[in-house]
Amino acid sequence: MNLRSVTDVGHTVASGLEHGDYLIELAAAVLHGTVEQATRDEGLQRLGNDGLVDAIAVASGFNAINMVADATGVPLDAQMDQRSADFRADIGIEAFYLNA
Amino acid sequence: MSEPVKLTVRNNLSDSHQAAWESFSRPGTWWTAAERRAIVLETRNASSCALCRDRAQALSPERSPEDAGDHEQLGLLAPEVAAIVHRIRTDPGRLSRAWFNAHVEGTLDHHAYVELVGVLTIATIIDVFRAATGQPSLDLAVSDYGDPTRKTTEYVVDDGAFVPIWKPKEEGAANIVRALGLVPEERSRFWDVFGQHYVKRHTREWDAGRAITRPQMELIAARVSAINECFY
Repeated sequence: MNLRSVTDVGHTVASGLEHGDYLIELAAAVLHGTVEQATRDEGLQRLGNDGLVDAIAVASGFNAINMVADATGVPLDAQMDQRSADFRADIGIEAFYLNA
Repeated sequence: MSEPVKLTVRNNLSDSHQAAWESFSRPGTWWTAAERRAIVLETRNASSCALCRDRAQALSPERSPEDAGDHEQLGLLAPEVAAIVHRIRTDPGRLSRAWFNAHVEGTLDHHAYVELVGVLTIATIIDVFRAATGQPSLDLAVSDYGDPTRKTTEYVVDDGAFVPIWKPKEEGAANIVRALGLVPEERSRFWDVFGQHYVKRHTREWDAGRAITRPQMELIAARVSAINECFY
């Protein structure tokens, strides 16, 4: 998986995963409440019923768990902080917020 | 025009939603049934609040030392509590300790705050999921009466979060798993739902037993978290 696709604002970086382009768009649509029937129809064709349901489940779940983290102010675990430092820099996660 | 295809949701996922949803009409640990219901309704209402919309676009979420303007509230909760609900629902990525100290400390007991976060986030998971899968929102039953349990736990510790978090007997739990620990019932309820959306908390296997691959799941999770500006 190419992690740069996660922060790629211009949608030019391929994730390297099957249906990655669709999943990235679906994630944003779930968050913004803009999933339309055409999006679901495309998801059904690409992922099938169960795959689409699971994809939406992950997006909606992580939307909420982000809120839990932010609202409680839990600090990043020390191990996770160290282990992710290099790829956080690699994918430019801090810079993403300025360009999104 | 053909009817849109209705999605079939696996039983364990919809059962977890049903169980959680029913809890919103019962007394909780700190809030009454009516208050829990009010938190859910205000969470829904927050999405259409003009002040919240403006603030989410603003360069700084604090337009003045105190939040200016009136939220479009339902009047079911104290205004300052409704404002907390609105802020968490619509602009969580920019919450800060300064915000917590200014708007939560002195307004809500920490237990009440944690339960509010639990109710709000569980309701949001379910509402967002149902909207994206083309299902109507769930109705909220008329509230049960009865008192909150006021059950406290000694298994919490001040570990750098805004509130004390769960201190498990064995080390190793991630901080996010510990976050709602001040109200164990709500913490358990949240993870029962979240486990069906993602992977069960005790599963370390790469194969999550879902219809999409684990890398695909992680791609979605990472994208959502990046858009939400959630550093954790």
